[in-house]
Amino acid sequence: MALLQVSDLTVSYGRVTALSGLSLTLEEGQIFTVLGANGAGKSTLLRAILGAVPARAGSVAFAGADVTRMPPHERVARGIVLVPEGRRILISLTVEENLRLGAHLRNDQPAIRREMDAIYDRFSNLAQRRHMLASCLSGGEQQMLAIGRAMMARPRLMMLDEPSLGLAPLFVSKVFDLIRELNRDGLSVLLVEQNAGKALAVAHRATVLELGRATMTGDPKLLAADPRLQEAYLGEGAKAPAA
Amino acid sequence: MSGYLTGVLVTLSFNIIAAYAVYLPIAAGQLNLGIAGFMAIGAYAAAFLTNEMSWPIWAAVLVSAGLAGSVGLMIGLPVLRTHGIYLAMATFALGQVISAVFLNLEVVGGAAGYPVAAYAPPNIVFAAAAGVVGFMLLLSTTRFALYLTAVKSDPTVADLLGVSVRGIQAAAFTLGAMVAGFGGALYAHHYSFIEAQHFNVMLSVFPVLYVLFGGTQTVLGPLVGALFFTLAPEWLRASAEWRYALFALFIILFMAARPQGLVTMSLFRLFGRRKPQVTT
Repeated sequence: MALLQVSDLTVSYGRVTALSGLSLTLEEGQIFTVLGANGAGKSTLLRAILGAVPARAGSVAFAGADVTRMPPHERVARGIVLVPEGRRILISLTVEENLRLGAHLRNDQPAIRREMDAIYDRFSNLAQRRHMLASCLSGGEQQMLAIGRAMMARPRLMMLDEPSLGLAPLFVSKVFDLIRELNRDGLSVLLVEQNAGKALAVAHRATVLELGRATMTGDPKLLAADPRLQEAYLGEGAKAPAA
Repeated sequence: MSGYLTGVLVTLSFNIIAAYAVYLPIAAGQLNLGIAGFMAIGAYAAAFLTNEMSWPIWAAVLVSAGLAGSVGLMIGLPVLRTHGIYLAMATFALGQVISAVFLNLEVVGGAAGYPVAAYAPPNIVFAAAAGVVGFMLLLSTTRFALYLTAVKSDPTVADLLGVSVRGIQAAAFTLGAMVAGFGGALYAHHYSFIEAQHFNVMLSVFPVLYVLFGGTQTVLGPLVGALFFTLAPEWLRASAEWRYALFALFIILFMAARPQGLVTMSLFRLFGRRKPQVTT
């Protein structure tokens, strides 16, 4: 059974339709990449899966349960997390408080402590700055904190909205390495990216959104080779930046 | 203790309680400009319970605080759908409506005011203010305080993390109303007389000033703000009629120079660093 099943999902903001009848299936353990131009509905898709924007029609099923009408906190409790676009770290809180906030629906203090230490082991920069305000972090470090914060919810599905946006090339590679590592440890990932080359390279499956509809879905290697996609997202001759 | 000193400290105690009543919703990013209305609910309800029902003061005060909180929750849920200046206006109107209701409520004296027979001595008032400060300090160590900060600094991301934004806002608003009702109930029993005109706009606005002056970032800000605004005019008493003009001038200059308030987190970091930070 699929971990995430989005069926005929329609979302609109007032009279503007952001998603129209979108369906996608994400199997447990997969990295699923969603490509698309600005305004194609990528961020809306992630927000609708989390429940931060209501579905006008269609359904979202997660781990066999229909979550379409559930508020975000119930979906987070079931294992869906979103690393929002632009990281959205709470800069008036310390690094550690940000992490703690990620775990706010859990009560198993010893396990929370253990997982927080694991995150510090992974990101030594965060460990050194754990009691400093998150505003002291660089963009790349903030992205690591945003992912760490999402990890603290102990998710089964992590959705990332443009995680490489605005990062230095070194950190872009780090983010994609991290996504691979987390996936190897069993986490399923739904990835929205502008960096099509890298995003297709890590994905098991991919789809292309245009104006709220999925126009191509399938094996990322085949998509990467598709001339239409190369033209639109990879630049002619597939000169993907730092791919 | 001299009568003068006792009088100042009692005023200080009530100001501290009022400051925290305003601070709670502000900590969740909301301005309640109708705090006097909730004080009025607490004051009149408690006075009615001790006068007419012969309840002991402590029970009347606690139940009235709960009542003010319940009214806060009932009114807060619809009112909190508004934001920013609209929320400020809505709560401002609310405070006025509540005090107008008591002005016309004959069972508690109407415009003539309402004498209160049972008396709460100064020591009780001091203990109550200390209790409120203690409660707030305790609250600041819980997860709830973390949620308040999250909701205040970025409601969108708090929602995405699964924090129930409206729930936290309603809880902060309700708790604030409860603290206001608690203060009002004690006020009635200390001064032995209440009238609707006392619960006016100024009573709602001054605590907001204490909190903004003291700073909204930390739990100690409202305490410092209330201390300053209660004690500084007393110290300036020697300079007679010019004291309020000088005081006002100082406030304007201070807020222009330090809009984040007196007590901030960076101030804490400056003085209260526990261990040296590695900065490599």
